[in-house]
Amino acid sequence: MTGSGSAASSAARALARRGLRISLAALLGLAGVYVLALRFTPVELRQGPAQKIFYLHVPAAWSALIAFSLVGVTSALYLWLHDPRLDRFAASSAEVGVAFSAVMLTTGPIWAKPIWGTWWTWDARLTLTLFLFFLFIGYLALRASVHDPEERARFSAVVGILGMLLVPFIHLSVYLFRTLHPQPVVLKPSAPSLPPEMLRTLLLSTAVFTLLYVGLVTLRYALALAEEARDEAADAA
Amino acid sequence: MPPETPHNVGYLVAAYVVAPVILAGYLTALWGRVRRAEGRTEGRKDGRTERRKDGRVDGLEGR
Amino acid sequence: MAESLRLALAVAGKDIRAELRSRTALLSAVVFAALVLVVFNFARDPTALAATDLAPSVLWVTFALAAMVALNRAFTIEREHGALDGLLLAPLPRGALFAGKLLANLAFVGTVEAVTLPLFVLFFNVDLWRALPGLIGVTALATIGFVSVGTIFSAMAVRTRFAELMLPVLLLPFMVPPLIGAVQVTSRLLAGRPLSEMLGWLRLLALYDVVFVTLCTMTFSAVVDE
Repeated sequence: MTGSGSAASSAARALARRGLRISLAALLGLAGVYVLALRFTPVELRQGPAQKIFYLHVPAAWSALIAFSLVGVTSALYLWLHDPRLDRFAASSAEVGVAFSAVMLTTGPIWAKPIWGTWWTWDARLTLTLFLFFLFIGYLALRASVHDPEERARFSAVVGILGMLLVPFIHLSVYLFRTLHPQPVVLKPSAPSLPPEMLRTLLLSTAVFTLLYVGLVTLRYALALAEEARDEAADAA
Repeated sequence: MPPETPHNVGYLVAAYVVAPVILAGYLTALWGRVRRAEGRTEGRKDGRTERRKDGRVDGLEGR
Repeated sequence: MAESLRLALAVAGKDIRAELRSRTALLSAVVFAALVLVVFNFARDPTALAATDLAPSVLWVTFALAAMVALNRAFTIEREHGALDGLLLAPLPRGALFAGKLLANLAFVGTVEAVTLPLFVLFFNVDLWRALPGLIGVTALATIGFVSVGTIFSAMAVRTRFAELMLPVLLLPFMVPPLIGAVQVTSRLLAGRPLSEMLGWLRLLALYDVVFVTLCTMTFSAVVDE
């Protein structure tokens, strides 16, 4: 028992260090993005300097989107395969996704105030992301309040799946109100409508945010492992 | 001259400060939680049961 | 199929009989709904906003809050009397068990809504007669959707700490699409607009019902079975 326990905890240890290294490298990359965005990317003429918030807001939204989609996918897989790794990953991804949503939901209004003239508007995409944020806060609150690990995994997998299917419904229902949000400028069928310097900055920033997502999820996953090892040791004692 | 470019550097600075504060803050908190979880496992290796001083059970964090 | 339906009705019948015997939960949910209506009436500036402009939102917020109270009660009763464990031991298909719970909750929430509606007409002085059949229809469509999600969440919530808090936190985001749709349709109904203007919303509500009733039936066993 102690043998396998300490092997598990040393694996968790190594994973935690790797996650920390990746995250720190990504934060360093973020510094690079700042230099590129502030020094070497032209100022958009109509929006002024505030337009550069875009280089943080969009990648943060991207990471949050990946995080929440993966929660949905791993939740569905968990109910099928009952592999505890899937549950650990879903929990990690949800928490990290909430952190990225927090960045998205703060940088968004800061950009909207000078550009749209209002901090917040009930536009389709804003409302959707706000509710996603609430949904995953609820998901984490649920995880925090179920004691039995197996039961916790099943419950949160159900919420994860239902949440994934809720997204198109919230989007559809809010979309029927007129939408103000700028349309996607990169991921659309025709050629990207962004000047090359701006596109380059955006793509670098997206890569950095993706790396940060990987690092944070790795670290959070290692935390889950370490806590399980701790709880097992507590049960053995 | 194109239409006048607005002066809104303040908003830019605010956003560029807020974002890393949130992300680095989360990373720090996460690392702290990892260290605490590891520390307690280590303590148990001596065969002693370690309790937190305030005797509380972990709540929201770590679940 | 017929067998499942019979079992579901048996489960629902048991719940409804238990509720009718005590009546306390039903009564408190109705009183709660009436209080919400009264509070809403005083939360509005009568010189700035006509009661009819606000009516659809008031009606649906009241329905939503009352449904939340009703759902919270449903599984709390089960837990306190340990009745759910007994039901789980019985050779019941989980789909039928879920359907039974759903029907009982629908009956309960439907009763609260049926009592709230006349009070709403009374307090807000809206002319309902023409819109009544449509209103009943849209109420059924919207209620089925969120009560179905609420049924599965309340089964989870009772097994958590802070059960009373957990249900609203989990369920409110899921109430958003049905509530938006229901408010839109209700305001068009009250304004006497043609059906074609509501069709999009009605489709959305129906789709929501189909998707979530199916999904909740499928995942219910993951919630109740060890």
